[in-house]
Amino acid sequence: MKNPVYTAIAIGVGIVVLLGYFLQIDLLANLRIVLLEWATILVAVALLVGIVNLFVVHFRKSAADQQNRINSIVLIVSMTITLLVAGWFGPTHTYSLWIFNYIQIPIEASLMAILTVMLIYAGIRLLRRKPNLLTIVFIATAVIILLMSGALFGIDIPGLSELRIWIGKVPAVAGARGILLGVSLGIVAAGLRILIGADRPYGGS
Amino acid sequence: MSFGDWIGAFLGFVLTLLVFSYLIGDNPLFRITLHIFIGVSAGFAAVVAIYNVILPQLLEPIFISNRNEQILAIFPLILAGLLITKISHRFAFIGNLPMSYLVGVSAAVAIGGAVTGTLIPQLLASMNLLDVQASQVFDANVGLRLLNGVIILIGTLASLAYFQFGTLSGSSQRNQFQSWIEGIGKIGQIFIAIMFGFLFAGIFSAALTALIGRVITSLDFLRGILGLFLQ
Amino acid sequence: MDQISCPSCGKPNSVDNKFCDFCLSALHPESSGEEVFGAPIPPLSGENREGLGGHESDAEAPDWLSELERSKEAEPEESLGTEADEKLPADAVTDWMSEVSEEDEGKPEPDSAAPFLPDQEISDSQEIPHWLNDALIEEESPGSIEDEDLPEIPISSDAPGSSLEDLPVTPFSDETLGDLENAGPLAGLKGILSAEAGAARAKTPKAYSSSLRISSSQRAHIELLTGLVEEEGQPLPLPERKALSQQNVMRWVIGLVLFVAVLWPLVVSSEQMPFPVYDEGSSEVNRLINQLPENARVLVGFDFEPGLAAELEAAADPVINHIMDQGALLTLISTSPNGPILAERFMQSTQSGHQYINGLDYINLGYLPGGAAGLVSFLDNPQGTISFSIDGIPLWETEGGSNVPVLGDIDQVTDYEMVLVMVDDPETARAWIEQLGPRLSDPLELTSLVLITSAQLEPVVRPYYDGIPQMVNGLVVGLRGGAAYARLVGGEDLLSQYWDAFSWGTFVAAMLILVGGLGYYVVPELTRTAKGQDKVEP
Repeated sequence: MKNPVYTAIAIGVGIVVLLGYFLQIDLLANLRIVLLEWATILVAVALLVGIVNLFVVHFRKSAADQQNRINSIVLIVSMTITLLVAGWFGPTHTYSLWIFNYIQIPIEASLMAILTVMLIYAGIRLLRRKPNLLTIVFIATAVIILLMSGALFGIDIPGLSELRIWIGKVPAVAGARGILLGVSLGIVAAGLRILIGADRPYGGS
Repeated sequence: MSFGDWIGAFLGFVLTLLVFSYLIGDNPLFRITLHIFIGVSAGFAAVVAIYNVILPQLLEPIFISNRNEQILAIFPLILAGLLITKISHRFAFIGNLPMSYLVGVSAAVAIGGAVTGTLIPQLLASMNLLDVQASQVFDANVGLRLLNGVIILIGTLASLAYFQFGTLSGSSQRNQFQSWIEGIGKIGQIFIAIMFGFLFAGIFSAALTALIGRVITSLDFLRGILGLFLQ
Repeated sequence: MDQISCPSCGKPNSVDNKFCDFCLSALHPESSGEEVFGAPIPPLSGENREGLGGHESDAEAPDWLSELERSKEAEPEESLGTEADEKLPADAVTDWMSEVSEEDEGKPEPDSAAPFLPDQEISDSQEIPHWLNDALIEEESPGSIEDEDLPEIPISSDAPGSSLEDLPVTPFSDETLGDLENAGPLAGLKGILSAEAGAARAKTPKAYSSSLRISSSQRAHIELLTGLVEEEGQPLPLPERKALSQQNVMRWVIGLVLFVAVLWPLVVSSEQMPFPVYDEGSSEVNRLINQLPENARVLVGFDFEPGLAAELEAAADPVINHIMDQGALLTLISTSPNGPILAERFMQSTQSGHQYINGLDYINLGYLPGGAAGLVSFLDNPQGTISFSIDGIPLWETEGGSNVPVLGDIDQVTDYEMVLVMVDDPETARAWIEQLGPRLSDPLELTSLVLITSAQLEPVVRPYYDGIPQMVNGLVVGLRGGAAYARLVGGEDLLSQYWDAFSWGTFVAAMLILVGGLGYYVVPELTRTAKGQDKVEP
């Protein structure tokens, strides 16, 4: 649906906030503060909308006679219990922390932990195909950094520690800086397209 | 440890095992555990958002503040109301108005941050690599620092070229230029490979610490259980 | 190769083709010999002849048709028309069609310009896929013959000739050609239309059905298309995974080796691995914290996910301990919804020894939504952005300042002596650096920005730390950075639990990748080379 009002709002609000980075005008600064305050509130509302949507979708799934409805039921039950406990007692209450410490952290940390096996497996498989220069450089860097991340049993291999520091401070910084500059240029280009109305990801076109 | 803590430790231990069961293969118990996690995580996020933002920032000013603040507080309330229509398929288009507001703010903040926080400082940092006076401050060995500076400068430009050359196209003159950039980009690939190798090791270290954390907690629980039986 | 144009669609086809590749029309209608007045002639059994509604006797049929019928009578009645033969095999149709062609060779061609007959071409099963052939056979078999009980079947103009069964057979005969004209310029000719006769026999026109009439081939195409569309909507079954694949075995072996490597030092509580001697970033953080004044105000960002709590808490433990030892007042904040709970957990568990009191020595401001936008809002205007703590404590009740001692006269972020952010995500780290860094770049600003990051962030954050201007003033990276810090200030309790297992784990991982990768590549290469030599030797 075409609606120039949406585009005008996005451009107007965006320009006011952007100018606040470069111009020190009281009126502009005050207006910017108000606009940013409202934006933070709206993001919280958007988060709630997303969670309500998640609940509704899984509620429908659990009501329908589907194969994986048990998963949806589990999700709804766990969400409801958390909402009731943390909502009633407060998110930092002992009961809420109990749920957090003994349910959320174990699951999330375990998910992270099984990544170790996947990463080693991926590293091994990388050499399965005929390796090229980039593969060898990648694996060699990873192995050196891994070896020097720990204590290596207290053994001091001459030059290895210095090599680790040098990789971290010179070639890795060079690659990362190039990527950071590239990403920033991309962000500026994408942001400017929104601010001139060329891109309207909010349904304004 | 209280009884509740024992129950919790047992629950955490079981959930850890269920997640680790994925290593044997994807299974229904693993998927159920994932859904528990999503439910709990979403529940906490909702409560924190309500406690920390919705109630004190959106609703309370309407009832508690002075007249001017009340008037000012109506605007985000209206925008929030419009945003809630996103839940409904039929009225979702009404929510585009607050979305356009959010997109405008986010774009501006992203541009401002990228320019003032990354582009300018990183370009300055690249230029200062060959600043002898600045080098002397940081390193006694000026020659070595300058050499490293040259390597970083070449690596930065080459990495940037690797990401940017794809956008060039056009006449034969440009093609020649493009082939130059592509050549430089190939050097950039090596720097990027080193960076990603570093990143790979970092991600592994982070995951390994998480694994150690789970093993420590599980061992503590098992030792506790064993201690209970031995007493 | 020579090509001819299709008489129906005009597209080029090979001369060898009997039917058009594009529209399936007959390319050589004159050679088919199956058409009379645009309609193919079926092999007629007695029943079929009745069904055609004509009750024609053999005498009424032309010679060539009589011959055709006689030749078919030699065969059992299997072709068409019986109720029992509802589904015919493909070769049954093609046989009679081919026989008809053979029988008709040498006979006079009734009409060389016969229109396209959609049903004719399907008789050649070699020209069309078997599935389509089957579908057509089902449509053409007796069911459609029954339709021929109707005395007259209208033939739509878009399907000339329609189907074999849909058409009445009206062969040439003297009777059908009409009476002899005996007057006028056309005298002596037969078959002349008489104006008077037409007018005299005026009658109500027949009512034709307005419903869509389609030929059997069109119906077959529709069903084919419907079938294809329906099939697209149905999910394909996933290929069954082998229970014991090489991938699974490798995963188990890797998991087992790594698990043993991590478990062993924890079980024996060895604590033999030395902490890192020096880390530049950690030393810089130590220097900055040592410079903090008494009751300094420090803003601490808890911007990490619970999954990495072990790493971030272990790395931050000696640093926050040191800050608390300096008597600093802490303000906790997070741009992640889980952050406030992680902050509370950290203060209650790892830092419980300091007896910090909520609201007095530290305050948990809670969740700051909006990512970078929320950060800008808070950095510019903390009072307007967050008005209550996560525990519901009102923060800014008095004009121009806070009633909470920790916040004092904090008006903007540069009123803090230090901003320390615990972060695990590159985007979040960039948001803090990009939004806060430029505000602190003024040499007159004494606020320092310190990051405690997950190990995975080191390459992303280091350019900000190593560059001039320096956007990040101090950097503690992962467990290694934390261990280096712990060595500087003491308080190695938590880290010492992790450090041995971590050192073992990283070493074993490096060896697995190195040995496993080489094994994966070198062994097959050697095998291939050996096989190649074996082949050459004989």
